[in-house]
Amino acid sequence: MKSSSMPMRASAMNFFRDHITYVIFLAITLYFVLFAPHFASVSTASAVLRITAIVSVMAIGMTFVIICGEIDLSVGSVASFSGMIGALLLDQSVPAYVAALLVLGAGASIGAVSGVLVTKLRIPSFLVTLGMLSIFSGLALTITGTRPVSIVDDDFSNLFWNGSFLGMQAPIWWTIVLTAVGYYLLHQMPYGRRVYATGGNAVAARFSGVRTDGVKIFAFAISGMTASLAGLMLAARSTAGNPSLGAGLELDVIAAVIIGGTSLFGGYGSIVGSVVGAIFIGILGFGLLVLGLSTSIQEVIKGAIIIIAVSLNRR
Amino acid sequence: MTEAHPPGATVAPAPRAQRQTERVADNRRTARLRPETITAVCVFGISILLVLGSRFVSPALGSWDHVNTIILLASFLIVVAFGQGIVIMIGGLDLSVPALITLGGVLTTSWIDASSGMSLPLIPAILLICACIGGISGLGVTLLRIPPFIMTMATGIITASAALGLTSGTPRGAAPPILTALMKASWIGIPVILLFILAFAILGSVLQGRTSYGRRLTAIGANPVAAHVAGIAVRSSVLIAYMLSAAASGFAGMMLAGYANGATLRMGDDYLLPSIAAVVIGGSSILGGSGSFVATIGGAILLTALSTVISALGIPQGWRTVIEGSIILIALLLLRENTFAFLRRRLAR
Repeated sequence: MKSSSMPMRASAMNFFRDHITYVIFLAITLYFVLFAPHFASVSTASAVLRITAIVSVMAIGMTFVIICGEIDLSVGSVASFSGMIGALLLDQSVPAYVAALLVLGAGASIGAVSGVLVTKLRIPSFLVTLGMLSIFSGLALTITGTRPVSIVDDDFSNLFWNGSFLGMQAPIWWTIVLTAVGYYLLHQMPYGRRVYATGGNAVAARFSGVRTDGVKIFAFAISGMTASLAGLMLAARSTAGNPSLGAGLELDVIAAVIIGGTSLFGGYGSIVGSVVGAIFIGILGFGLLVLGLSTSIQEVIKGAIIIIAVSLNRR
Repeated sequence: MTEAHPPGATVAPAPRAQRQTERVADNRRTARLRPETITAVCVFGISILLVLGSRFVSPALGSWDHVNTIILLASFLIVVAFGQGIVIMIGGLDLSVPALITLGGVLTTSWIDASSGMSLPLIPAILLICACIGGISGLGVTLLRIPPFIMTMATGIITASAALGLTSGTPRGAAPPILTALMKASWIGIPVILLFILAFAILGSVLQGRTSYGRRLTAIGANPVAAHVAGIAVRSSVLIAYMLSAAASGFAGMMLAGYANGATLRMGDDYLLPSIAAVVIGGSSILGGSGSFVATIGGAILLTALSTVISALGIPQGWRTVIEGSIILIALLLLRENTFAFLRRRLAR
């Protein structure tokens, strides 16, 4: 009897350890549902999903980069920059769809440049993207001399934030669509396997014929593209391109990915986990707000959660 | 691994005679130039050229006053870059610098009243608090093995929001006279801050280059496993490095508070990238294990000189951020090993 129960117990323990962040997530959500007034309602749920859409979208792109064993600190400033560029293009009466595609292309190219610097010139990714962070937050400020650019295009606002389809708002649709695409790309396509191989053991991957540099550059391009999509959504939300829209978002994004169980050392992780992580951060922020805690305490808790999540998700 | 290298054999220094012969055998002119020396000379040279060249930008620049201003403005960066340099030396990175500068400044102005005489014992107390926060980062890096930039980013958020909570949004108070004197007074015609920075430079480079702790840091940065095998207490050395960096940032916050005679919650924001840039321009390897504080000071002075010229040209603030980011990337590209090999070949010709 002992011999049969031990593996059961061990596997239960393993399951518990692998999904510890989900357990904490459920416990905290339950706490808010029980103790925060009017927390458990459809309107709260949809508000939280709308608020977290931006972090979710960016976290999906970031997941690829982190599974490759790299990091992208520039996503926040790329989002600000993209919002500005999008607003300026619309200001020049470029059609909304064309402007959006151009901005997404620009975001992907920015990511690809980071990727090339990281892989071909072998500079650590946190430094390359820290440099990129400062370059693009500076550019977002100087492009109009720190003035925000208002957006009057209804197509654009409907497409990225205000519209709704089948009873669900645009940001929730974007989260769902990107989660599906990201899931397919990472878990179903050969590219996804190469991402895992590159992050798990780059040397072994290279000897097995994976072009790890190309895989990483593409991952950075995906991250840049999702960051610029988030920038467009932010711009549509505030109906203006504002140079400081995305400032500091990289923290929430990295926290979301790590809470979602992706290893910061590469080789492990999942898209759905990152989205759950992003929603968790949203629920936490919303719940603490409902409970009447100040933003400074929220930030302290966020910082503590990053530390706890990274030290628990050790493989 | 330990069987192959019995303890003692790896750590024992080569006999003096043998080192002497090596030195005699390799007496090419350039072999004696360490990369650190080359970078230090280059960086200081470029700074001097920049200051002299800035006369063409505006007649007010390039004067002795301009040099004094540069040193005064660079002093904050030099102090911050000392700590950042130590952490980079061991292969880490300290992203909590802005938060700790703010905390140092805010605590100074809110705890030490300008009129009371309590400033002397309170200054070390505030530095100790900052060092403890650095110690938390160090514990996360060493015990929990969290990557340094994530750990320091997290402690940075926590510290910044603690500073926000402590002051409830509006820092009050003024700097104690001793700090305003440090930043603004002069002694027999020489600004006190110039003397202070000279002393700090000497102390800092002695700590990094001439003490056993400094050498331990170099060893850990070059190869942590080898350092551990050689009997170095890696964890405590790393812990102390993060504590030193946090205390340095806190002190820079005090200096800023003394300079501006007050503190703000965003006073540290402009120092993160320059602190890394100064270390990288100073030729330290960003992966750890090499670097010199003197060259880092050169990097800090070069960056500050550049930013005074930029503001004299009337270029908007946003471009400064762009330029700083580009400088980091360009410096990282240029200051790799093969560039030094190239420079040495050139100098040998």
